[in-house]
Amino acid sequence: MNPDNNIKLKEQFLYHRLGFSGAITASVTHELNNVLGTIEQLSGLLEDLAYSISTGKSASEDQMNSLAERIARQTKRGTVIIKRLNSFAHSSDAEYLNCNLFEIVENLSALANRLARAKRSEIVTVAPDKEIILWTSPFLVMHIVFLIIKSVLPIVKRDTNIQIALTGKNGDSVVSISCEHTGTENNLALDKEIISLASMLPASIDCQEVDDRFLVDIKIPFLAPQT
Amino acid sequence: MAAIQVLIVDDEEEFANTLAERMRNRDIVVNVVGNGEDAIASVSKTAYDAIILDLIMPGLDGIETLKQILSINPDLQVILLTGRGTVSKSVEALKIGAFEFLEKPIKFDDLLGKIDNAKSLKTTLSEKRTQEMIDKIIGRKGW
Repeated sequence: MNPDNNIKLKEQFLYHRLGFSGAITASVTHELNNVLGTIEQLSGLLEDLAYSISTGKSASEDQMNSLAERIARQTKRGTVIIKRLNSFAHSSDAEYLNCNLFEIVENLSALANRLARAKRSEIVTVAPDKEIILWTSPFLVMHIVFLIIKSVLPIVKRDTNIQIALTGKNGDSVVSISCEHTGTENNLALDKEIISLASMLPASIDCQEVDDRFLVDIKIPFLAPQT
Repeated sequence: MAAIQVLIVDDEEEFANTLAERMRNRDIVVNVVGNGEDAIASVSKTAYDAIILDLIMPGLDGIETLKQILSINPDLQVILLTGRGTVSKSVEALKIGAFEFLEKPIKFDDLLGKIDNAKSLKTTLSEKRTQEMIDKIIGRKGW
């Protein structure tokens, strides 16, 4: 290969990696902003209550407890979001790692769910019968799954789920992404980038339409965990 | 004086409900809905003084909801709630006819101030339309 082309490909690859990280960060910070905004209003409500007590009105213990619980619930929600973002950020610590495939996919699904909800859909994950631990690139796996989710979003039927199921088949691990589509005139156009990323993993992509559902399989050859 | 009537349109349920509770503490009459479709239905039934509308929502987004709300009642004053990185959409919303926009997380007192301004503007517009109607009738009758 021409060295200039090789450099261009590497630059393109880095650009796409940054784009993916940016999309996830933008989505997550938007959600964190919502959490902080809610906590701010809840603390304001607490101030309202304190003010009304100072003017001689009574407040019940239930009212105080309920407010404390509501603030705690939002704090917990924020903590979960940050934990997921942190785990995402560490997925590129090394190119290849020993990974629990379901944990990677579940984390990405949770981070990308806001995009699905914007289309009135929900990403649901189905765990494999047996834990799948393999030597792979968690960042690449998440990037491929994310791009497939983005590809199916324009055609997913409103108020239905995008399902991501994991299975182990003949020594390979398969991540199956499926959804009900809006009509026969809609074709699933997978981004060219998905195929090139899959070849780097290495993995193969199989895309098919069964009745009113699109099904995309990412087949990852099993590489035993490294010690 | 009649109480101010506000509609909050936001899919962040806890945020919207808390905002509503704080407004009710200040004698504002508030309804809360979680999406654009319900907002359009509510606006068709109630003459609100101000609509607090989240820009990013599932299904019908803030911009589309704004367009449809204003087609029902062009005098409605819509205050948009936006997140960071949505400046271009906020500008688009102002061009369509939004009254104001506030960036989340919002300052409650700022929001109350904007609701007051919205109510005043709505009253002025309503008086202007009544006057225009009277003038038209007078002109037609040749009085």
